[in-house]
Amino acid sequence: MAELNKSIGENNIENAAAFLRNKDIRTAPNKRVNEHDFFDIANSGAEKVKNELIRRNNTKR
Amino acid sequence: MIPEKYISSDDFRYNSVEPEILVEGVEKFKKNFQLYKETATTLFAEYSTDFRINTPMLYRIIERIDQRKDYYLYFHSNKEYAMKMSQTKEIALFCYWLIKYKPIAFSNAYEEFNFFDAHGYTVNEMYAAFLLMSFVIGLEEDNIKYFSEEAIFTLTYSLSNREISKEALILYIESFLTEEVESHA
Repeated sequence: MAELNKSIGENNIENAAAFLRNKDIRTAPNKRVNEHDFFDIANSGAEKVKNELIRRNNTKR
Repeated sequence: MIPEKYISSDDFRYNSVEPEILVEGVEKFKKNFQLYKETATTLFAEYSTDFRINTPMLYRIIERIDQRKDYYLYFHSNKEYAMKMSQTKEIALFCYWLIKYKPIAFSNAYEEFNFFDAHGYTVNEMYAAFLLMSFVIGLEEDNIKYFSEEAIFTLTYSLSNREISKEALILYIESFLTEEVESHA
């Protein structure tokens, strides 16, 4: 277990600089799947959704 | 922090999207919505597929997504990479604004009343669910297994009645990304 930095709560330049250095670990998750436009991805799956929903609806009858 | 020299300067402000981008975005929407209409002829056979689309609202949605993309680029990029917002966030934002603005309505007001009375949602929530499913299944065909009838009902109910934030929708859609994808690309 890493040793706790007991001085981390103090307001000083070193701690402020360390906070900024660690900025990357607070970056939001961002999973780009490829370079396609989001609507192009959606349109590639829409036909399948259409066929599946129609198939299920017809099976219910 | 924005450098002082850029504040109130012509050099630093949001530059709106080009009109061509708005037109292209609406055309892509229409392509997807056409497939929704073809689905609706079976699922909601007693209703017409004659809809009014509020195009300025769609422009506004596309512009809002672009604004958020710029925000993301500014606040999340670093020296190593420019943070381009992911498609999952974009589709989530599109669905969020779709259910907020509700740009789609039956041309016939009585159909609009009847549809809501019978289903408890408007065509906007049902279409948002369709679009969201299209995206998730566009990523991986096998994802259709996650959208049982009950799951779709829960989704349309939630989009209609529950307080779904942009971030909650982003998380919902990101939860379908099971494969490793390129990060920060």
